[in-house]
Amino acid sequence: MDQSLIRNFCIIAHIDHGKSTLADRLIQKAKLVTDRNFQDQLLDSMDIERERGITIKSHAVTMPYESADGTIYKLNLVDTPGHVDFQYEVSRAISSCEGALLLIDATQGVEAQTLSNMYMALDHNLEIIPVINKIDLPGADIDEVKRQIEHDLGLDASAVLEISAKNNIGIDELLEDMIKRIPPPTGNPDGPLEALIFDSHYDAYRGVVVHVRIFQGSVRTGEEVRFWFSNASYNAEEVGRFKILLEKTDILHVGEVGYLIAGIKNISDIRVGDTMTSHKRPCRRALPGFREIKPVVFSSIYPVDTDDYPDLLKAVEKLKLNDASLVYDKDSSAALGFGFRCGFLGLLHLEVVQARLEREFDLSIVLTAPSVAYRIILKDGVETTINSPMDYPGPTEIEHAEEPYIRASIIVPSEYLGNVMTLCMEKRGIQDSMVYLDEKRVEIVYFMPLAEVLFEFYDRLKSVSRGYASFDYEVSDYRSVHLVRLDILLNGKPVDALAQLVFRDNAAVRAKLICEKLREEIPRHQFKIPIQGSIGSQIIARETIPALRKDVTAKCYGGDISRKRKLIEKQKAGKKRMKMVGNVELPQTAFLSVLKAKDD
Amino acid sequence: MIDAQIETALKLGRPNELMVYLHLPFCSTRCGYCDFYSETDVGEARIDATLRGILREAEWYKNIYPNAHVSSLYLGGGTPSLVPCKLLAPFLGRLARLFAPVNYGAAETSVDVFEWSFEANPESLDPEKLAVLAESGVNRLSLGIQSFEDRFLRALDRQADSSMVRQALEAVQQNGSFQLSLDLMTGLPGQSHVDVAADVHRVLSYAPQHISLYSLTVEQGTPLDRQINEGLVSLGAPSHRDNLWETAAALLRRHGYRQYEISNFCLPGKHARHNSGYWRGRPYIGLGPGAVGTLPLAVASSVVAAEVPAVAPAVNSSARAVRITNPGLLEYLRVMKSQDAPGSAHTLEYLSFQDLLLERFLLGLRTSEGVRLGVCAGEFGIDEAHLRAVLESWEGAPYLDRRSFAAGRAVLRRGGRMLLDRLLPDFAVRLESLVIKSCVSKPGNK
Ligand SMILES: Nc1nc2c(ncn2[C@@H]2O[C@H](COP(=O)(O)OP(=O)(O)OP(=O)(O)O)[C@@H](O)[C@H]2O)c(=O)[nH]1
Ligand code: SF4
Ligand SMILES: [Mg+2]
Repeated sequence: MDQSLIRNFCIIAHIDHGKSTLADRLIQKAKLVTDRNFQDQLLDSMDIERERGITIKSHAVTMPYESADGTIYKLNLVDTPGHVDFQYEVSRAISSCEGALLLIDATQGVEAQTLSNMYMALDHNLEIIPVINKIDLPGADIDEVKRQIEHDLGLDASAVLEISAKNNIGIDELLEDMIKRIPPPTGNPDGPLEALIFDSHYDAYRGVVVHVRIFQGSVRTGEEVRFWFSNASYNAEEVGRFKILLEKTDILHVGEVGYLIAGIKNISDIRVGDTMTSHKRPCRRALPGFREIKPVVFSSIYPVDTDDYPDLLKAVEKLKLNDASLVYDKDSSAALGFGFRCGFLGLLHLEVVQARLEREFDLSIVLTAPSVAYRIILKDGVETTINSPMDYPGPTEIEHAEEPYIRASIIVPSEYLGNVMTLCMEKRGIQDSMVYLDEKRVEIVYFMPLAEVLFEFYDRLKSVSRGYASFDYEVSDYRSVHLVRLDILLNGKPVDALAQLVFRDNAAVRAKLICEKLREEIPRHQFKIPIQGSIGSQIIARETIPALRKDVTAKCYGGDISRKRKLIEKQKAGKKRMKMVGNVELPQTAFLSVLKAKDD
Repeated sequence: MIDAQIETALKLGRPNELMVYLHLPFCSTRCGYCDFYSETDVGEARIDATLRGILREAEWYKNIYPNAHVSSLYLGGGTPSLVPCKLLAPFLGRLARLFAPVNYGAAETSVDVFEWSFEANPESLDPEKLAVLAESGVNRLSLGIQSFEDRFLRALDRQADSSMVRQALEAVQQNGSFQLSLDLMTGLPGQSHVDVAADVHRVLSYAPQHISLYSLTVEQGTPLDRQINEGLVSLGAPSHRDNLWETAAALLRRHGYRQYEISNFCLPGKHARHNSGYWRGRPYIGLGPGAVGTLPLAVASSVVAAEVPAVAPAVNSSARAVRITNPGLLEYLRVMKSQDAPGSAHTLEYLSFQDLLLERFLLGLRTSEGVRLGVCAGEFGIDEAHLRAVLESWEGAPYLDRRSFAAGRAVLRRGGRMLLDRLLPDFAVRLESLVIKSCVSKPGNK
């Protein structure tokens, strides 16, 4: 394979600007799937991606392309997610590429993740090709978007391409332009193997499948490879490329992206970001890996049935292979038994992990209320970081507590500026700057407690700006907070898994919301159940679930029986997802509803 | 659709005893709370066509089960009493010839031999129609009165007003040849305890053998449901409505009525044979548009070898019975008038061993006689001790009547029966372990 004919590129953009749709057009052009098997956003293959209509995993696919002059190129495309919680996916995709198509929706213009993704690509010296998408839409304002590209992004607007991914407009021009502008991969084809593991997944039959980008040398079937970090060696059983499915080849050359299967059963030998080399002829140093993951939200995951802990352990290990941003540690709770304390990159990430554990591994699990990491300075001068209410020291031992703040940058049309500022202030935000990007759009920067952003901030931002505000953030610093632990008592007994760390002034409202939510979620029992929220011994909220009511409605004759049985079967399924806490049955949803307690 | 193979499987299912439910989906207007299958504005010609269709279907079933003993025939609706006398008499005559036992007739009309029920609404019941019913052999009348108060009858959009209700009841008493069942409803908009007591006393004054007592339920998509959503009607607090029902139930019990099922009361020995059959899991044929039937299927191991290949291969091997739902009026008429087999538009739901076992309990536990464990274990080929263990580990165990349990019957005390719906999901969870174990340990058992 002639290295000069390879082009590795990713498609990056703000959420919904059309990355996966553009990938569809390229896949169809290369005829990787028959028309009959084609479906929109083909690469969004996980159920949860299709349900939510967003990309969650980066997805690589290799395809041939015959250019206008008849040369056959090998394109390797990576579709990336746009949601801020999955930026780690984008950053790893970027490190396997030489170029990036930066899509910008012609009706939305430059948004928060347009900027942050572009900076990531620039950091890796990628060739960036700005592409305006959705030019077919009536609201498209191409001149304005071009202006933003020059002004906000600092890119040359004369080199911008205009396409409609959905309607297949401008795709040929884009491809021609791309092979000219994106450089082919460099790297010595004959040097010792240097391959970066940028992703992996677990296959029930074949074990771990490692996704690699070859930066030097090559790897063949049958060769012995070594993983830098674990120093473990394996025999390469199969190497190949990503088509829509895996496609076996004999060798992966320098500059190529592909996969390797080596009968790896010991999952911990493999780390995303690690370097793979040849056992006989190892390279001298490891490739620079990926930046360390800094989870911002923490929550514990427990099996509904305590006996399922070993299954959960296996599942979490396997999921970690395919979700390098998941961080976990063992945890245990009086109410819920053994589980894992996990770190996530945001609330959506948390929901995705939950959904994947349930669906891909067929587990019933509960998650506890999410928390940020607090810094606590004790009276004796010792400083600790805690991210779980279970680790909260007694209030008398605490000298002082600090919570993480973020620097939130929000781009919003000026007419919604007032609404957005009110929201930020409600969330204890402190304004840092306000810049008019042009006469219609403003960028405001706030410092805000991360904990406030976790609860419904994103949804509220969208609703107060009618969907027009876009939002990006980074963790900035720690600032002082009056922190308390809010306990939730069921039937008079505190349930550790329902406790939360909260800002004192928010405690009463939060407690009330949680108690109300639990009242809705917990089914009636044969006895009455008080639900209380307390700080220490002080009760600050209270609700009661009345005992079961008699059921006198029902007539039940020949025609009603099936309906009745099916209803019971359905309730039976719900029943199996209940967690016994003391003598109270908590539905799995109760734990999640607590973290979703709306505060408006 | 019931094809030839399923017909064979039904034939070989060989029920010893059958019940027949016949649905007449006609009403003069629609009551605001009703979600039964029924059509309004149906003229005489169409009623006639429907009755002919039903007879065709009935004969077809008779062919499948030429020797089965039919213990009850229930004509429900809709409003069966809407059928005019001149159509009714020949229709009932044909039904009697098809389904009534040989010893049933002029001399012998006991419900123990053959319970033949007919549902009626007061406005379409007069002495002439009652005479036709009595002469044809109907021996039990179920009258939908709901209330004696005009304002409640209006709120329910009932056709009859209180004077029609009284007239109908008097006509029934005059005729004197029927066991009488009355439907009474509580929880009506604006109803008080005094109102309920007044209705119950008026019911008692007619000394019916049987009373069905319901609390008004709001079914989705009914006019009542819309009125409530639009704030035009308010039903009051659920606890108040529950109490109204309890008041009525307590009064009935005090006057000697036995609450033999969650919403059914009777004088001793006067329970509804037909409905009790449902609660005991007996097989029944459904006739007429929208009717439902449940019939046993031949199980491979219970059929002589030569017959086995005839059993439908399409029928899932775990199916032990089939629930058959008849098409709605238009489709029903189309099929019955055509050359197609009568069962060609029926929809089928196969019931497995597990389904039937769950149904046996969800129905049986509604009643004061409960479920007989030995019989049930024998019929399903399970270990009675396992079944007992399931019941003892169940959330509802504290409500089991200890003495009956010791004597081999699962019966819920009244308080538990009123919680049954909430207790059943847990029962279903526990039943799973039982079923799986016994299927493994006793393969091929019937
Ligand atoms: N009118 C029009 N709609 C488009 C075009 N390209 C994409 N869309 C629509 O925009 C929506 C989002 O498209 P996706 O391809 O899923 O966007 P994405 O960038 O992959 O989104 P994430 O992966 O969630 O970040 C879909 O409804 C597409 O049909 C286009 O050129 N014109
Ligand atoms: S008479 Fe009976 S079936 Fe007919 S509409 Fe009224 S409640 Fe429904
Ligand atoms: Mg996408």
